Amino acid sequence: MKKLFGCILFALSLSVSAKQPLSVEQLLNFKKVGNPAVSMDGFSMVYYIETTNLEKNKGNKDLYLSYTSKEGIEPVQLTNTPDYNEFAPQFNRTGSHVYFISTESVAPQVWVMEIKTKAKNQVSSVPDGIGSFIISSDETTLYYTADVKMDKSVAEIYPDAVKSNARIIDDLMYRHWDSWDDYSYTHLFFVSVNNYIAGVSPIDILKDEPYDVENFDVNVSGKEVAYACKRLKGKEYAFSTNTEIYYYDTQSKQTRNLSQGNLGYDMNPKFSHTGKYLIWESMTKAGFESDKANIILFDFGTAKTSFLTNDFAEGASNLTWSLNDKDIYFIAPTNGTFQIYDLELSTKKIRSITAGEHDCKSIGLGAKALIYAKTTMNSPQEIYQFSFALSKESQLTFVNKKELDNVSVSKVERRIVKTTDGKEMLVWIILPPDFDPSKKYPTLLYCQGGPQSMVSCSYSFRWNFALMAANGYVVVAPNRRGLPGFGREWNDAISGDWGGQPMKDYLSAIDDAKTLPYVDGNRLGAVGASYGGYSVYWLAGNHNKRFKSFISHCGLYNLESWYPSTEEMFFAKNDIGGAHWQPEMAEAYKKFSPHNFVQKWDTPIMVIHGEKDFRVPVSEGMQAFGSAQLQNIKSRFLYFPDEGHWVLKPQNALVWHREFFRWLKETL
Amino acid sequence: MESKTIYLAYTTPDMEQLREELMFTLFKAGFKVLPMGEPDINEEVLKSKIKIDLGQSKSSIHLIGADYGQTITSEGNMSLANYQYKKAKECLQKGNNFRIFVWHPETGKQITDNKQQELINDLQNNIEANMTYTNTPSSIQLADDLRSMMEVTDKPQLQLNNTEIFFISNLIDDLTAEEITDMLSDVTQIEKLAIEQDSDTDYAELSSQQINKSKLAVVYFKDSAEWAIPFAQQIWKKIGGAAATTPILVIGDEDPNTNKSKGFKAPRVISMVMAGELIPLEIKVQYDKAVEAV
Repeated sequence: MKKLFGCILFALSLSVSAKQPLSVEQLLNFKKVGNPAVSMDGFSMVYYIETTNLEKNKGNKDLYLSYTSKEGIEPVQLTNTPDYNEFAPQFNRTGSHVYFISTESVAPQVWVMEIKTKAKNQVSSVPDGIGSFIISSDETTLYYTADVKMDKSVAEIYPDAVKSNARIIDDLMYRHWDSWDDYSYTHLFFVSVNNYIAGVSPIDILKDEPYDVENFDVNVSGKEVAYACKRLKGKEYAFSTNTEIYYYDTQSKQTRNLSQGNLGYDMNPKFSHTGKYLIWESMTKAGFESDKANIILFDFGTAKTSFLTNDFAEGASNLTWSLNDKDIYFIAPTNGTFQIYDLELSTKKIRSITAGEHDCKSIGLGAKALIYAKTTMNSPQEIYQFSFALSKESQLTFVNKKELDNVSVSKVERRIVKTTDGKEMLVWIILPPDFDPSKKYPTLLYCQGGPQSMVSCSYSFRWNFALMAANGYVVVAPNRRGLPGFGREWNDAISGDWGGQPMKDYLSAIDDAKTLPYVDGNRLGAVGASYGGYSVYWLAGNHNKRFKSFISHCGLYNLESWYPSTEEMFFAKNDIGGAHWQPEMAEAYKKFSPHNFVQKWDTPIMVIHGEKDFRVPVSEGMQAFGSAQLQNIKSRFLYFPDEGHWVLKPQNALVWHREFFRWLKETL
Repeated sequence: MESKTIYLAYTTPDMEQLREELMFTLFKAGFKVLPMGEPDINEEVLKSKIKIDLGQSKSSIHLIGADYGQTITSEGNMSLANYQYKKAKECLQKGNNFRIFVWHPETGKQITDNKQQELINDLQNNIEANMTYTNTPSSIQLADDLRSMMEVTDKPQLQLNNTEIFFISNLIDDLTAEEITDMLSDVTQIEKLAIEQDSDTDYAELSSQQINKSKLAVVYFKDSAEWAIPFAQQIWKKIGGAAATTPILVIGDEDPNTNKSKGFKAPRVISMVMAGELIPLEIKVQYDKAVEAV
């Protein structure tokens, strides 16, 4: 039992000189800790740890168990399967078994493991696999999502042309993120576990309906389910955020729309433990995906809904009931961080639970504590607990501690910068390890994507500030206009003003940074992805010789071509305002589309794009690169044939990082 | 009332020989046994004698065989065996630490009378506190069990607190035991007893009294399997064996490997050897089951 109770010693580091700056290879080899599933008694938790095999170009997820009551306990490995993944764990009611998804039988299926013996059995056998699942608390009913093919492919329309991969498209949403329409829809099923084993077919709650279920929750009775679904197709689907919360009774087979009348997003339903209430995240503004997410409560006793967070400035996510159903815990963006809050149901009073420069990513209920995953700018995700009795946070897992102990840490500073319109803006400054204030450092302006995603304390495996700093760069990361965590006015100010105040905010941030004694004003670069990539293209034509180098990843170069070629039109419509052929949009396109300023490009630029990026199609990157080449501007195109809006494959990530820093070395 | 007086109920002809054997064993073990002789043929006299003899006894033993046996007309043709059992239960309800032992040894004889089968079902399904149902084949073993269980009532009651889990380990395993209880103490109330082998303390007595004030008893071992199993057996008997109200979890670490063959199978005992790091979780799981059963 020594191995169990061998507390991880917080040994002082061998010596300061033993620490090395973070390398790309180290970053990619850090283990990734999944969000924990906490047992109902709060005593233990199961989570996956993903290891990366660079040589095999893939990651592998195995399940681990830890106790929530004590910090520093070595986790117990539950699965050890290098060839397939286990993830999405869920405890049974007593905590003796854990259900999870495994790819052991190729298509993802639900499995169950008896923890004490580690013996496991396959529960589901859905031919094309499942997406997500919930097992009812009495373990008699399995709910899961799975794709149902409903539309005909070309080969089915023309049986004599089965080798044709042509597509016949009559409406929008023919592709999404990185995938083409596969003629199928994600449906929600339920089945009695015993019947299932006996060969009885599961019941499809959306039978014959061409719509997708987004997410769902199951009531404590195991007989009712609430799910989010946007019952729209094609163009209507593309322009709308109107998902609804539906309540389905498996006994009566009746469905009720609980969110009828709200035209914005309604997502992530959560039943209370008693089953008397249902809460969900709700946005009121139609077509605005980054509107404030209110918490809505539906009382099954009175059949009435009420808004719980009207007086709270920020949107709520990760809604979690307390064990006695008297409180709701949630996560909200807060001044450059993500914190956990407690909403007291009876008074609607909200108080913050956590504090500090971190991003809380999940919430689970421990016996006397909250259990959550979190990151900082210097550490990948680990699991923590917040003790209510001690009002104190402690770290429960130390998955990357050994590796991090050998890495020198970057100092992170908050800086408040005055914007051109007199507002105050939070700018993160990340300094290289072993920072020497008497030196001058090349400096990167980091342009955030989203565009409504806060520059927070996340630990990205690509846009990693610690790695940029470890390579000798000061990073300036402004929370420019349009980001949450600083009030609704700040968040909403970007819509319809992409190339306006947000660009001025960037320039305010970098001009302020130039006044810092350690920033080398002659060696400034600007980098970013998505909207951040758009920002880089826009700045490339409007920077007045400020920058020496640019890197734009999956950026929007030409809004005229991007608008009709992207997929989620609600986002494009809300943020841009409309199509370029609409007369009232002419001025906005003229001012905001980076391609209108390409003739002023005068600085080396690196363009990165993935072929499967359907949010910002690859042609945007190609146009930008071609325009730079045709004007004889030093430029490079890093192209990933099998990546989408992100870079997910390990070796592609390795190349991405090496090329990112090679370019900066060459040009900055 | 003498503390060592036992009412050995009249039984059916198929169990008569065993009753005689048991009577002899009990005499040798120092017990006074009632009633002596054959049952009176006058029902009222018989019923009166049963009442008097039970009133003088600290416990009763009921031998259950395959036959329904003699009946009592004035009691709706209830069997004599059943009648005595019912009267003994009345003594049980009155308290005073009265105990009932039901001995149903395997004889190989088929039960043909439905009424007897109903009686057996009733006995098996309605075991209460201070009742023991056993099918041990040996009258000597039964007498030994009786002696150890009856001793409990003679001991002074210790001042002990109610608790959720009572965790017993040997001092040899104190380090790991401490870690386990430390973890569990975060989620439930736990009393820990570390047993020092050379101590004069009557740990079996202490444990049995504390177990009766707990929802789950745990006997944990890692390097002390040789102590743990006999100790678990001893306290199991003291708390009433199959009739114990509190279940005992006998749980061992699979390291060292020799522990894998260690265990103690008995009613109301859960015995397992497993990976040490999963022991806290399993204790919690078994505790939850015990609470749910209550």
